Amino acid sequence: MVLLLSAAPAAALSGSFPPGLSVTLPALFPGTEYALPGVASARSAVADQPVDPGGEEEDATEHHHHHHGGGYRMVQWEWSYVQTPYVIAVWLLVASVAKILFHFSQRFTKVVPESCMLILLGLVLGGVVLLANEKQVYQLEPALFFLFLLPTIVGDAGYFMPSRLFFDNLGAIMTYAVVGTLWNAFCTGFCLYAAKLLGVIDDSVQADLMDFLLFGALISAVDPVAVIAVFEEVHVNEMLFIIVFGESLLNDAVTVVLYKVYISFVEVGPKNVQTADYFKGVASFLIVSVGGTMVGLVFAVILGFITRFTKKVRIIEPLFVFLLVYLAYLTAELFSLSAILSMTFCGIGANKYVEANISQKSRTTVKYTMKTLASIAETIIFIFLGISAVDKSKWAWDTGLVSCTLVFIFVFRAMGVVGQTWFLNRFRLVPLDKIDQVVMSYGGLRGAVAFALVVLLDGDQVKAKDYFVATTIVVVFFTVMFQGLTIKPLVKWLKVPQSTNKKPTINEEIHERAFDHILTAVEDIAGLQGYHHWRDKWEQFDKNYLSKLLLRKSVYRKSELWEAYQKINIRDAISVIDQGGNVLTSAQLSLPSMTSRASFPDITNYLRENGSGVCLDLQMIDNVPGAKMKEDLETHHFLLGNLYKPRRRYQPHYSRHFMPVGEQERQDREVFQRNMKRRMSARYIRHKRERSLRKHKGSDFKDNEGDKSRRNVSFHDKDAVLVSMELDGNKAEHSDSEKEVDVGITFSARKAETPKQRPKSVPAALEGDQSQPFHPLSPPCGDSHLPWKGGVGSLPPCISVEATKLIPVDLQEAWNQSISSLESISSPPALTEPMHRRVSALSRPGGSRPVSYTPSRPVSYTPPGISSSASQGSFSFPEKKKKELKKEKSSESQEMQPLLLEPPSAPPPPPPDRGRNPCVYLRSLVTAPPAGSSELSSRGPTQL
Amino acid sequence: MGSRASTLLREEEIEEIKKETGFSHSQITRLYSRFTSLDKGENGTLSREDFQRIPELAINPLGDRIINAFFPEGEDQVNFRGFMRTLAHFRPIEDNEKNKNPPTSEPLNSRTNKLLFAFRLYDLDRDDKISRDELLQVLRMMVGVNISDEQLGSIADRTIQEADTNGDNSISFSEFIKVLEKVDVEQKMSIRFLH
Repeated sequence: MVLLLSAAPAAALSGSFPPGLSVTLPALFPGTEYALPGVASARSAVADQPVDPGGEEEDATEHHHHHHGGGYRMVQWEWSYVQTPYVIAVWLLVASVAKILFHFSQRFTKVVPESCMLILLGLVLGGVVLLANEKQVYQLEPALFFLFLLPTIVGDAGYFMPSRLFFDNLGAIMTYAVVGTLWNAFCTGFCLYAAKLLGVIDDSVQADLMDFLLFGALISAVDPVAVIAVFEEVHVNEMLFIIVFGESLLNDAVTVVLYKVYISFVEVGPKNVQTADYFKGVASFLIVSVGGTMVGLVFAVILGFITRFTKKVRIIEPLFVFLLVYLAYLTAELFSLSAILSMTFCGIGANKYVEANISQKSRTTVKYTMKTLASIAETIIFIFLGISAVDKSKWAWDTGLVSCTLVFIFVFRAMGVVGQTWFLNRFRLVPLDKIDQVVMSYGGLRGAVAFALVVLLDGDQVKAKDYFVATTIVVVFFTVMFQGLTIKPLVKWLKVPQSTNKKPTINEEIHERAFDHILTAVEDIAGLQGYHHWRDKWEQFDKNYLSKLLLRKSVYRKSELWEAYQKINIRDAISVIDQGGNVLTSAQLSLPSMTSRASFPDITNYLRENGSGVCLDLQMIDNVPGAKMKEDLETHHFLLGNLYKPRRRYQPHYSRHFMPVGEQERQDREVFQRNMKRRMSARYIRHKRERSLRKHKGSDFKDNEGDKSRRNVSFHDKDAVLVSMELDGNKAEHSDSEKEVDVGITFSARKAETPKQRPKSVPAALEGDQSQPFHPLSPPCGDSHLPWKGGVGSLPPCISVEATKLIPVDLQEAWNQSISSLESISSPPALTEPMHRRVSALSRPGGSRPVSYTPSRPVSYTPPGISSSASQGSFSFPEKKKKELKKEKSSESQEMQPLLLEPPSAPPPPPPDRGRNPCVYLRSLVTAPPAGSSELSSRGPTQL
Repeated sequence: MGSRASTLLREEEIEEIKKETGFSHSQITRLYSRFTSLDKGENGTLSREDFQRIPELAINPLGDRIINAFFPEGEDQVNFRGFMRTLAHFRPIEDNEKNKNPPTSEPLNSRTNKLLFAFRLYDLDRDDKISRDELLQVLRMMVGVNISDEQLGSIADRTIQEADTNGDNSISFSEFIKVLEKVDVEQKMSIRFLH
């Protein structure tokens, strides 16, 4: 870019951005009013010269002279200092804004490809520059193009190349790339020479056979940039795309070699070329192509190996990808091998290992950065192609040459494609039909590579350079604009099968894998050493050696299928959100379609089906000293499932070396994953409960107001302990309503699985609760076994047995975290909800946990809770509400009956009891018993 | 070996196989020589042991299932006709076959038959349903030991949920076809037999 932009002087800038700079800036900086035009004239005088560092320096000194002449200035004009980056940035801005503008009109962009528009814009900009300077000062500099713009596009293309598809069609791709390009180059060259001899091409074009062959070589290669730009909008089927696109990448080796060979031939003169030189040419082709590929693969191995060890430096992971892929390109250039081949194969080779090694965030970063860079590079290329065309000095028009070239490249492309396809179809599993051939012929677009190569020609050696440049520009414009514009209607008219752009489902992933195994086996049985045979051999090699070397140990042990499964799950989740769902907000989570009810049978099912032999019965755990303890545990579990989010606020973290996964985010992810899991299974069992769900949907929101006061009934007429429990429940549900769904996972499953526990535990709970105030100062001896008493790192003994088994393996880490984090919470942040005063009042002195967890605390700390809640005046009409509650509960438990997978073997506690004693009601809320109570518990958040 | 094979195969037999499977004459003789080279017992039939002697099949995770697919139910020998009939599933569908009027009987290499072959690999008990257990077995074969039972179970659940339309918690053949309708089965279940 430096090359280009150092050639782009201030004058040009003032010319091309008149409103921005030349008008406003002088006004802003009076001292520069005369400096700018001065520079402008100075530069326009040398504008057509090659880059002249001396001249640049002169300008700079001139500059400095100007603003240091008048003593100290408040504001100084430092154009020469910022010029290069400034112009780059402005160009990038122009290109980006242009992209925005094109996409304003949907209808327009559907018809006209972006590349056409960019070229047109380039033409306009070029015209402006030309008018301002009378000389074209910008053009697509070959060095800029080959060192910066092209690598970004090829890097993106190679890294994201669908490798399976690419290798499936490798034979065809290589044939088209090598044979096709050679055919095109020779035929075009020879025929142009023949046209010259016949007098079709004007005599002023001073060129002999070698020149025409050289020209044919550079004009015949299908251009990757143009192909991507055009085909991306056409959406032909992937096989067709990969063949055309793969060809455009792989033909680089041919182009490079032909170009270099011909240049050397032209330099020594055709008469001095010896037979040996032709063989050298062939050998050089092998070296350039194989060497380029090898360089790429070596860098791919290095890249994969490096990313194995980036665990501690996640933040620079993406950089390794960019650097090594780019280095692959530069290294190949260094040894004058095929840089495009090198970069492509580096990308293809490394992709699998890198993607597996680096973190999800790095993956996203790599993807977006690559796409951004490639997109902007493409934009700049097309704009500059347009600008470069507006240059009188370059144009040397010869109608004969231009029209002959256009006809020849088109005809020979078509002939080449048809001939090769006929040959290839004899070996291909899926023959390419006529329509494919038409699209392939028509899609042979020429582009910036040809232009950059023709500009690189030495005008002294190749006399007809100007003619060639003009012809190349016309050819590029014709293929990109005319063919690019018409290929879409053509594809539609020919009814070319379009790409469906669908992502594989898990079924497809699994069955296609099975297909591969089947085909390999059949090939082995039939004694054919075909494609699948070798692919399988490669996979064995990859698995046994390469993956071991290049993949992290943790990754290597993971199964690809599992990865695919997770990817699909995440994609589903994202698409759910995209469709308007929001899994992380309370509003969505409490929608009946995914209430926690789904979780009970789901988890139970899950466990049962897995036959994992999980002990679902808490009473099996010996060191629970009694019902009291157990109830505490239940409460604890309930809160555990519920409480974690609001207690952590997002803490702005800054670290240069890490981007720590925020606690918040980790929770979100966990919740998100669980929700998605549930949602998937909810869909599966939904038909069973569709009816009752619909019923409750309405009541959920209707009852909102009444529920509030109803819930508070217990505060009014019950003693302190009960109030504290109620607060506890309230707090949990209230403060963390969107976590409601998570409640089910841990212990509701236990309840549903062991319904027999119910009758035992409920009376026990009653007794325990009532006796609680009388022994406030004697903490249960089993207290030390409580989860929150355990060490941070290790799982508490009580829940570890079941909890770790209940939670899917990938969630275990998050689970451990939430357990240990519950401990570390000293006091919850103030909540914005009206409840918060009570909540904080309760938990403030508790130190490490909400007070109500421990039996000794509630007595001493509930009075403030009562008084504050009483002062809110929410205790009106307790009797009436209680009755309503009772009624509703009984009806709900009836409705819930069909929803249970297994009818509870023990009857739920008698409704009157629950109605009379809010403590039991509370219990039912907290412990999520079967039937009606679980319904209530799930409705908690909405009611609040 | 090749010359001996072609002499052992009678012309009319070749014609019949040609008609039934659509293989060309040269393909049939080529495959016959393969058949006889696999047939260590030299009795004109292949046993499971003959298949298991192929070294690559030993490392193929689905090798045993595919070997089984060659044997008609309840038999443990397969003759050349049966051998060819199974292989014919994997013949690519050719252009002229596509355009032909639908033949009286569906060719062995039709899309449905290709899918049915794959389906049968899962469906061990031949009840025309892939149950969760059957799916789990195949998954376990394909993924190896790197993955826990729970993970595999959730994959299987998800797979069945995705495909299951009638809620019987298993994948029937019609569901199997439906779920793979976007897959280019014609291509992905075909191999190129040398001419």
